[in-house]
Amino acid sequence: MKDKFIILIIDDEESIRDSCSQVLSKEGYSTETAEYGNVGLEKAKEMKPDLVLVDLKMPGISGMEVLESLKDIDPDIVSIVITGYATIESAVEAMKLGAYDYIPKPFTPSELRIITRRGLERRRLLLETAALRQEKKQMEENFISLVTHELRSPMIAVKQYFDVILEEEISGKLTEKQKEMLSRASQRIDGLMKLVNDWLQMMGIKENGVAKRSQAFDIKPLLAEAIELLKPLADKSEVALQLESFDALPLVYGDNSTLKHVFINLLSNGIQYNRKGGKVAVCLREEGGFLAVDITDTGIGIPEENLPLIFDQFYRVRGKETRKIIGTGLGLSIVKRIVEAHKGQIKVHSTLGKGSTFTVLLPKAPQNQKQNKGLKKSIKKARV
Amino acid sequence: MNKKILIIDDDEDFVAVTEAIFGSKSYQCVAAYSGKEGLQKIKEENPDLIIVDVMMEDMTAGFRLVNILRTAEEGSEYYPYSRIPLLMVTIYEDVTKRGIREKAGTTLLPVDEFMRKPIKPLELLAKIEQMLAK
Repeated sequence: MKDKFIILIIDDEESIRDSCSQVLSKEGYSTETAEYGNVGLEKAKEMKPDLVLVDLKMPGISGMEVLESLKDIDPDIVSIVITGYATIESAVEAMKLGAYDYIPKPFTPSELRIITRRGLERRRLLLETAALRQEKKQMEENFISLVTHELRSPMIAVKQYFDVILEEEISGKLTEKQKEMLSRASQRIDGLMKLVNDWLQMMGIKENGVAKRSQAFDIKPLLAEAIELLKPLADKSEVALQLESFDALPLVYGDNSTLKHVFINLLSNGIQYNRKGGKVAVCLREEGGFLAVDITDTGIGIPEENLPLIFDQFYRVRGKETRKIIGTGLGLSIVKRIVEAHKGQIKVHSTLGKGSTFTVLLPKAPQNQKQNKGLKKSIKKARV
Repeated sequence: MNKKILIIDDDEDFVAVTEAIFGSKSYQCVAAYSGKEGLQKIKEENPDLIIVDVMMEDMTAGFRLVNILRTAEEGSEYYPYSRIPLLMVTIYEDVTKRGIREKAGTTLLPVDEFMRKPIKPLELLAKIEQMLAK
């Protein structure tokens, strides 16, 4: 897998650095040394070592701190602790911080050889596991794109045939009955395409993805945008949309694009499961450490026994009023997944025949979040 | 003279649908079912407009075709066809949507227009008319 293992030796004693380096080079490994912890960490970032020998007692940052930071650089790095003050306590502490093994000073070249060989065996296993994990991920992704293509192509073909036949200007006159049946068939295909898209989106929601894109932002413009987007649907359904908010609300910490999906979904539910002349109100308030967004509709409501199930995948409330509405049964489970990826919560209250309120709780941005983010960016830029 | 449209797509259903749409407006249609066949047909038919899919014999056959056409230099075999209006169609949205749209019209993806499948018949007709009028 690897042609030459790289070993980094961090020790303030020159004799230790030199002797270790000499012994290990002879074994055919590539070695590098550092006198202090911080220098060692810089070198670790640069050369991505397979194994690191760390002295516990050094001037400057301690060996324990070095161990912790090494894990951030590469979680699969194998570190071995060297020390002259070998005690059970320090050994246990080092192991807790992720050290793989422990070698007390003074040690013989053959002791060093054995312990590094074992450490590198461990490294080899870790790398193999990581490669397998990567391969599995790749296979999953390929599977998703294969399914997308193989499912979407035929659906698109069917959809386009329907649309051409339905366009009388192109294909000639249809009877009312034919038109109605073909329109319904075309809508069902739309539903199926939406299902595939929703399902793909579901597979794509990963907590670390959300965390990576998260930042502090004002949620009001996002809600206004979602309302604007759904205005045509609301007008068609004769449902009024309104945003009730208060000016002095804190920023939320989250991923703008996936959160937009959450509110579009909840609003469109509020509109579709409503009655003519009804309304959907969006209200903002604070609740504990969260910013709460209430989306209240004057719709048909959800039977109490169904409430625990509505966030399940593919679950849809069946009834006279819902039969005509095309849905995939994935909308709310996607919403829940996105909200939970934000470490938020979603709650629902409903009265049958009167309407429902969905409440999304999102973490507030820490007070100085915005500045921090900016600072981090400028530091990054300065480095580049 | 009726305008001639070349449709390059390995999806026979898409070709059938577009032929039905253009047939209703007395456009003349010619089809090719791969990028390679498309290049051949361009020389044989000298169309007024080309519709080309992205994924055909491989993932990027459509991209290659438009690049060959648009970067043809004076004196080369495709030069006489290098300015024919191009409409690119594809079923992909998520991954490529933003990238492709941003690149449409640039040297990276030198097409005139871009549409996502399923296309809406009347939208397609309007777009074609507009492209041919230029």
